[in-house]
Amino acid sequence: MTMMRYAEALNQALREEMHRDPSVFLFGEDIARYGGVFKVTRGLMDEFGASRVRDTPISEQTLAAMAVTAAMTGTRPVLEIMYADFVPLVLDALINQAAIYEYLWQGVQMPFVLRTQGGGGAGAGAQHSKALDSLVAHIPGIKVVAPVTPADAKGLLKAAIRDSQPVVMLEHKLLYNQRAEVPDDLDFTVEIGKARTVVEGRDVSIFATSRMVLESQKAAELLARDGISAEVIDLRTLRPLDLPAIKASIAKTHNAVVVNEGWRFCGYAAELSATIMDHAFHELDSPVARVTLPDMPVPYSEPLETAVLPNAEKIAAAARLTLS
Amino acid sequence: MEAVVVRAWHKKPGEPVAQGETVVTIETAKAATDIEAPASGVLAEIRVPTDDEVPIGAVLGIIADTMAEPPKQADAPAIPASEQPRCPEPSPEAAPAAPAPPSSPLTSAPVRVPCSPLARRIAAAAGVKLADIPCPARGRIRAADVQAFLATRKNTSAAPLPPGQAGSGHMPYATQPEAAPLVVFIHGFGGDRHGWNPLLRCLDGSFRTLTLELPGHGSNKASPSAYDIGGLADSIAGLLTQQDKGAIHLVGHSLGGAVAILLAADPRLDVRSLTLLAPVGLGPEIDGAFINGFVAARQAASIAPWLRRLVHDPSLVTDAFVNATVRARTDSTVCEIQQHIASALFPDGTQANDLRATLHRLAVPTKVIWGESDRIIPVQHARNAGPMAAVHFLPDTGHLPHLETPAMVAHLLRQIVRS
Repeated sequence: MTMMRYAEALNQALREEMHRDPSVFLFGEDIARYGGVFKVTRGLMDEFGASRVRDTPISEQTLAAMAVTAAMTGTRPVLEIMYADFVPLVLDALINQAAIYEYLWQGVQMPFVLRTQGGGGAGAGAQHSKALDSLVAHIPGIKVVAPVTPADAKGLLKAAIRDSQPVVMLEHKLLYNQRAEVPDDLDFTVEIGKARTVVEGRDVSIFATSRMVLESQKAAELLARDGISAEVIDLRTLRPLDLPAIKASIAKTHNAVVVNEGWRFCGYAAELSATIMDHAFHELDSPVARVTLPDMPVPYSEPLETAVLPNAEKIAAAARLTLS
Repeated sequence: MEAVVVRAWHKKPGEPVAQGETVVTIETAKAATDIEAPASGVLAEIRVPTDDEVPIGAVLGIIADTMAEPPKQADAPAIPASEQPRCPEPSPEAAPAAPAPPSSPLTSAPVRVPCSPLARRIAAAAGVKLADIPCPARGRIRAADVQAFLATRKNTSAAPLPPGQAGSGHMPYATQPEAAPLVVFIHGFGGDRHGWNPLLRCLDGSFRTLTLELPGHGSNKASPSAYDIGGLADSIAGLLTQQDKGAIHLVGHSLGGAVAILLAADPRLDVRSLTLLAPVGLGPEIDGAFINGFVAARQAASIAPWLRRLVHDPSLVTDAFVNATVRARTDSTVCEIQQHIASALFPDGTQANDLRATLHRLAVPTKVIWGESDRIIPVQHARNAGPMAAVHFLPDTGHLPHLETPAMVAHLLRQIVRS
């Protein structure tokens, strides 16, 4: 185990997989010479050369189409889209190409990874703070992962690169500097589709994604002061969902809060809530509570941004509501 | 709940009514509820006059298209059997039934009891009807409510209640077998016997119960023999000695607590235990602004803020609670007597009566129960209960423990009565 930052864990995952498999290559805006705006790809161009770590023009639509065709022709591209806010530009490649080519043409594999980062809390304003999880998680045929810890960041990225299906990896700009122990094992991966129990509890289950897992942990501490025992589940994979884990937790607590930093209406939290109702309705002792960003742009102003983003207090309030 | 009382008709026979208009107000054990016209037409017939009590399912009146049409329809439920007194907000589909031309009884389809899926599943597995489970203040049955119901059912199944005597919504007098201990409840200033209902439901047949009303409160419109604490106690002692009740256990809240202390010391009565909820008489402080404000208040807008001061969680003060309180304060006799009581017992916002010495001399087992968040009488007064009394502090509870934490109060009450 080595103590490292989330960004370093991703860097290590890329480096290890590039050593392991010569067909793995990286491309994206400012990832090579500059090392990426969040320094995830720092040093990789020097180590692997400019043909395997490529800077590209600002044209996300083209980049996504390149990833699809590169994957179809036998390589394992890892594309970085600098901000999740630019994901709408790559949706055609995801929805109309990557997600369905395996279905249309037998034997076609689509082993590419699209890394991007979203979310608010950094004062990045309405065009650089979105969590568009539901847009990518909506597409059948695309796997979506959202690691929170450095270890999961490394393990899930390595698993994503080795996967034969397209995987979108949702990172968060406020997670890159999180430090924690990360396994050194070259074959360490985290299975896609498996949730992680962060805090065990018995009164209410809080299902959270990405940075909201950290806020949910704080919420569990707030609730513990009131004698409420909250269970916090980090979903880690947004699609496919770890249904057994979700069902087991609700069978224990009978109350659920779902937390996602995206918008509320048709949002990822809405999907979670509906899924819980589909699979665990008769275990529920209260309506599922949703904590999300309101349906509005993320404000640039710090106090306003703080006011609208989901946080520990809001999550704790929602949990109390399920117990009232 | 098995019966309701018709409190007021807002329309006379022959008067036109519009769909959604309030036609009649009924009172359940806890709250007054307005019944809206399910259809437009003419109030053709009033079947249940004001102040009459009717069982659930009775037809209250008939709305017809015109007066000429003889409104003869088979009896249909007037009050949904499952509309528990504590479920003041039935789901939208629980509103009075759809119009059934040509005439439409003021009826409701059976109300769907709001219930969590888990609670529904547990109830079904145990073979319990949801309508039989007391609905808690939140208006929705949860798993814990079903489990509590099953537990109490288990406890009481050894001595089944005589038929027709179980679970009456009207509880002035005992409904339990003679052998069970008799617990007498005395409400606080400005209250009435209905205030005990949440607690009585939690007791769920453990004891015979008797809820008495102080002079100038509820339906007791008599004046006390004297406007002092002794006068109030005499009135209650009179009610108790009229018919020999034998051994009794006393429960008094606030002003009723002070009365209970005096009654416990009254040699004419055989008092076996004394439970005091935030009683008057243990110190000089009391929230005079509350007394004055409450006594003067006659409408929802002025009463609601004072009611909220009574409790820790203001959401307990529902519109139904406020409306029932307003209704209780429309009687000028009652208001006048209460005004006199307030100025005699709490002059200048001070408790005039010090009952500490009386309480300390009592030989009966005594419990003092006090909400930590009481804003009417300081919780510190509990320290003055003397060395013999057991004192219980309830967190997140205001001046109405029997409403705010009825399960805990019931538990403590069972403890002392059974001991």
